[in-house]
Amino acid sequence: MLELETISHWFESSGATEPGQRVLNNISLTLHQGESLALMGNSGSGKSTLLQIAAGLERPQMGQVKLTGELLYQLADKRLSALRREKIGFVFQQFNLLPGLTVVDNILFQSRLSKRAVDQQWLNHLMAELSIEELKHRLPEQLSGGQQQRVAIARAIAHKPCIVFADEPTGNLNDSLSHSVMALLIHLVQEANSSLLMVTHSAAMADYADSVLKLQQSQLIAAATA
Amino acid sequence: MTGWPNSIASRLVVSHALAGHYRRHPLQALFLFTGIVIATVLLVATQLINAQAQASYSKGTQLFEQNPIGYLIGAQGQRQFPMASYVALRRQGFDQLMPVLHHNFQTAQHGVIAVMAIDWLSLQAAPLPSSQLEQQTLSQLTLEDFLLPPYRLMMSSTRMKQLAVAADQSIELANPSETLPALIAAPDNSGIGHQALMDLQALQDISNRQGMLSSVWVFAMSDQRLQALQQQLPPDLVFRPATEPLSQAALAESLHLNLAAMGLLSFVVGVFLAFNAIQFSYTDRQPLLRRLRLSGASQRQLYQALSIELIVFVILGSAVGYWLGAWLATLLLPGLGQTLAQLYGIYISYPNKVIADLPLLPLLMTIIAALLAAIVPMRQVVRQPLLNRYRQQTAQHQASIRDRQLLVIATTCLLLALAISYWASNLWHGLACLALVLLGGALALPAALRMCLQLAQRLVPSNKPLLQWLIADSRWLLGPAAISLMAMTLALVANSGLNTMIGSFRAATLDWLEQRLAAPVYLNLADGQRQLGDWLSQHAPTIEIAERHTIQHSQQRHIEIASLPPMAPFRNSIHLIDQVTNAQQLFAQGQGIYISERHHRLDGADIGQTVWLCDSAPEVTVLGIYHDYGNPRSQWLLDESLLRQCWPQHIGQSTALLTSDGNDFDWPKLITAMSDSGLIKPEQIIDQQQIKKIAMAVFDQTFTVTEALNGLTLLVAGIGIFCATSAIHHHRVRQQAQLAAMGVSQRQRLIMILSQWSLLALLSMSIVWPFGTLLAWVLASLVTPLAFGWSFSTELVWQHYPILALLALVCVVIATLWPSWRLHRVSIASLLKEVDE
Repeated sequence: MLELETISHWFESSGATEPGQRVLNNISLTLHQGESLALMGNSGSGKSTLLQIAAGLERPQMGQVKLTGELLYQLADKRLSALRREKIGFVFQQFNLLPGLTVVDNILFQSRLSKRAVDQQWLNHLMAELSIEELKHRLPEQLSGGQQQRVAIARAIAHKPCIVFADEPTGNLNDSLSHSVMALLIHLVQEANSSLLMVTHSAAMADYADSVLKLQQSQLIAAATA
Repeated sequence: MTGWPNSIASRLVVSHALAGHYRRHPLQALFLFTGIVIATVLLVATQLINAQAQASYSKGTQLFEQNPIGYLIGAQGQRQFPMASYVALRRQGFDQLMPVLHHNFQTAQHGVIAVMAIDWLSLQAAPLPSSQLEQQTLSQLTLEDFLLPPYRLMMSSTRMKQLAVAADQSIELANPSETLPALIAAPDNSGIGHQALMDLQALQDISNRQGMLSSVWVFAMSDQRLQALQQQLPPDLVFRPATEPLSQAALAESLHLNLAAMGLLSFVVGVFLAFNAIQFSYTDRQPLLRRLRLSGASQRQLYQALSIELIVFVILGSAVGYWLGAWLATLLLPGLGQTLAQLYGIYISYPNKVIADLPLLPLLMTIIAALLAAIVPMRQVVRQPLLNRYRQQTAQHQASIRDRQLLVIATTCLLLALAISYWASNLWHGLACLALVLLGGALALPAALRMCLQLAQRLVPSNKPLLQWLIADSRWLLGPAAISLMAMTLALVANSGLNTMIGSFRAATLDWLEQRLAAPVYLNLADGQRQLGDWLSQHAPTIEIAERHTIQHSQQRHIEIASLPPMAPFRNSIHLIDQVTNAQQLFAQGQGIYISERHHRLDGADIGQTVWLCDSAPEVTVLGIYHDYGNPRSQWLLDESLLRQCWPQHIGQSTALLTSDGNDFDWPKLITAMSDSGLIKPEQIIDQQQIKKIAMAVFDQTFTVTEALNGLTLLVAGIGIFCATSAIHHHRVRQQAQLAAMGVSQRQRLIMILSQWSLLALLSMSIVWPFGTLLAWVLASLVTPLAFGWSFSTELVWQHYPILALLALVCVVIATLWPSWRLHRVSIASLLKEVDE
């Protein structure tokens, strides 16, 4: 499903090319269909960078990323964008809903972009599970933080992607809300038969995933699975 | 710790923290600086140009700082007279006289060089001591060069630049048998302005007018001496006092007011941009200001820090704006000089650099406007609540409220404009109406755009997500972009209105010229009508000669009296706007006059009134009012019989030829025969088409400066859009990151950014077109009649509107290209990093 092969990365501005100075050093990981993986690490450890590399958003200095058999960084922007539309879903820390579009338009945005027919049953199910049915015609600015994050989750899963990337999905939520949102995310990802690669600094949130890896000194260390 | 050093230190800390924002967002600093510069530049430029012209007017007609008190000119209106008359006066001991000859030459590039020739030695006899005069001029020229063959043609450096010639070069003339001497740069105090200066004898030889003069300048002398001079004048000369400086200024007042209005328009656009920039920078620093407050900085300290920051921007921006304005004034001054020369016969001097007096008024206006523009945003940002949730919701909601408030103000402006247009009685009312229409249009724009976008959003099908987003995001964009769009709208409405007005005016003038040019051929004869008459009666007996006389009213010096030849084509060429019963019949009988529209509108004259014409015709009735486009003077038109009552010996200034039976005639053959016979020179013949061409060239020239300023204002607005897109760049990052992550390609994102601004520009046409048309109506029906006394109907040329839309589109695309490209080139990961910060 998702394969990262010997990924090494450093930022050009730092000029750090020695292994000891890299953000990511020779990292490999594989994520199978339907699996969920949490990446943990201290602030500045490079976990978000790794997530972005895995999602095809930042080209690594060394190494390859394969998603459903396609080498991401050998694809032209047009093909890569198409891949993102069809096979990837994103959940950001900052919710990042499109202001000016209603909740339902936000949710269906990526589906419509990939010109897929809307699975109304799936959409209704998502909205029911996330308790956002009554918010259908509201604008993002009229929603609370928790409501916005639930809409963001719906948007990420509405088109049944192969994989969902979530960068600190509960970072802006309080504890009780974080647990309910995380539980929903895991449940819905499983229902959609998608994989999940999630970055979090919270061990409690990481425990929801099938397995947890930790980024430490630019290396990936296996941690206890759920 | 207490004491003033510590309070200064704490202020510095606060200022330093606030100024750090501009290190991260240097484009916002540039945006604010640019707005202030723009507000100052054109305001300073137009004020300097007007001040230079006013300084010229106040000095009156001058030559090397010598002011004549009057002129000796042909008593019967003849444009030249024998030099012997002047010589006779000199022999009688009248030394303070200077002979002058004027001649216009056609250049090979179809321009006109107005040359004035003088007797240099007579100039030295003027009140200024000759040694002082020589000291002023000899540093620039050798007297012998000027006085002796091959002679020199003196011209101001500015005029030479305008003609693209340099010193020691000669100007190529249309007539190859005429050659002007090589050029020499005039000294700064020459006062010759748009004209060229040369030796009298040299011009008499070149123009083949040996022994002739156009006028004699009379320099200061005692009253008794002047009286004696007037008594000794030969019958062919008459003394006319020098034109009051005030009347020159009054004549050109409207032109200068128009320039000032353009300067003010640009000032308003610049203030809009500065206000926009101030708002952006304060809004972006809201979190920073909150943190400073939470850290213990007082509101007073924040006010002080922000005020100092603003004052620094204003001082720097105003200084640069002044320098650029002065440079622009130097560039535009020759254009104005040419307009004044061609339109009003006024010659202003061209200094080598524009007046150095610091124009305090524009600088003060910019400083006050910038400070006023900052008051409300500064207050809002300093006094904001320390805990501020749902900022985005608040900002959008506030933007919506603001747009509704602006719509209310816009409506008020339009109602006021309507009221003023009904009661307007002077140019200031007209300009106020103009300003209200302009402002109303600009202020109505955000609400109009919001309504258009709301409607568009309802019409977009749900299976077009990018289009949905484009329109929804455009509504968000209205918040930060409204003011720069309003500035662009101001410029476009002004552009549209002016273009429509100029087009309508041009069409009216052309129509009017077609009607008024009753004769196919006109002759530029100094005199010699009798010889012409004799020749024609032998060789072309069906040809009639019509003379046209122009005389200045002896008491009301601003009125020009002109005669209408009795032939039917001339009678029929006058279309009256208003008339008494049987006006034409009474006019033909010499029982009344027609007055020009300008005289009616600006001097208050009306049909049915009686006026004093001369002692022999003390009470003459005004029978009708006619259009007289392009004439800056009020005019009376009379039948030749009435003219002869007052001025029996007057010689006509221009001569027209027409057939007595109205049939077709072989004019080219006649003209060739007249030239071959030596009766007239080819350059003395002017056909109808040529007159129209010259008249329309003067017309176009009149608006050159206005159009240049109009174009500059549009450029200014484009700069505003550029600054706005650059300043809100980091606000767009969030959107771009989301779209990129969801699979919108780089190309699609670039197209969408450009499309968004293009959509806003095109939707702005919903305001530009109607308000531009309204502005054109105000200009045509209110301002121009009040300013110049000329009225005409507004003609809408539909082709103009899509061209304007295209112009707006091009302006916006160019202005947003680079900021859009920047956004387009940033990697998604970088976009996401900026979002998370």
